[in-house]
Amino acid sequence: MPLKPTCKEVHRLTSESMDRELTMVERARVRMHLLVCHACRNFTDQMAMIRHAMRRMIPDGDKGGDSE
Amino acid sequence: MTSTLHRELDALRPALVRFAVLQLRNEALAEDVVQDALIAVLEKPDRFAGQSSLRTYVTGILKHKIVDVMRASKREFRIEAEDGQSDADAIDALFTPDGHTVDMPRQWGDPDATLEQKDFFRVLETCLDRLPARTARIFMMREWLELDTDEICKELGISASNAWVMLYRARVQLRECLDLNWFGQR
Repeated sequence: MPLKPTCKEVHRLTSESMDRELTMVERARVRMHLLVCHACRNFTDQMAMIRHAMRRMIPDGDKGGDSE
Repeated sequence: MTSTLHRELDALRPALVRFAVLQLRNEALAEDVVQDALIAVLEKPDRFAGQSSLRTYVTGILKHKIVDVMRASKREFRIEAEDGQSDADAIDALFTPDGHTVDMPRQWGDPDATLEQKDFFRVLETCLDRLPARTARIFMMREWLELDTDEICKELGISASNAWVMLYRARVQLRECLDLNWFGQR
C-alpha cells in the first residue's frame, strides 16, 4: 500500500464502502484523499447518485405521459 | 373499480416484465414472476388503497417475488466467478500508471432535479440493459432488490471479494454509460 492513497484506490474503496464497512484506516485514507482530490469527490457524488436513482427506479407503465 | 385496476395493471405489465428480465435474465421466468405479483395485487386490492402509487406498490411486491424465486431455485442463479482479467483491464484503463484518473469525472449537477426527469430513468434502464448479464444481475440484486452482500454471495455462490469487484465494475460501467448518454447530452 503506497503511503498516499491514489485515485485508483479511492475509487475502489468508494464503491466498496457501499457494500461493506470500511476499516478505520481505509476510511481515513479516503477522507484524506477527498480533501485534495476534486476528481474523486465528483466520482463519490456520482456513486451516491446512482444508488439513489436505483432505489427510486420503478417500472414505467406507459411510454408516453405519466399521471403520477 | 376492479376493472380499472385490471386495466392499470395490464398497462404496467410490459414494464414489470422488462425489469424482471433485467434481474432474472430469463423471459419465461420473468413472465411468471410478474404474473404472481399481479395476482397478489388483484387478490388484495384494498391493501394498496391510498398507500402510494400503484406502480410503487406493485414494484414492491414484484421485488419480494423475485427474491423468493431466487431463493427457491438457487442453483440456477449461481454464476461463474469473474476471471478478472478483462475487468481489471477495464478498470485499469481509467487510471494513469501512477493511479490518477485519466479523465476528470464531471459534476452531474443537482441529483434531485435529475431524478425528477422520467427520461433519465429510461436512459438508466437502457444502460442497465447494456451491462453484461451477470454484472447486471449482481448489481440489480444489490441496488434494486437491496440485498446485502452476504445474501448475494450465498445466492450466487461467489466470495465477498468477488462480489465487491463485480459491483465496482458494474458501477463504473453504469457511470460511464450515464455520463455519455445523459449527462454528456445536457
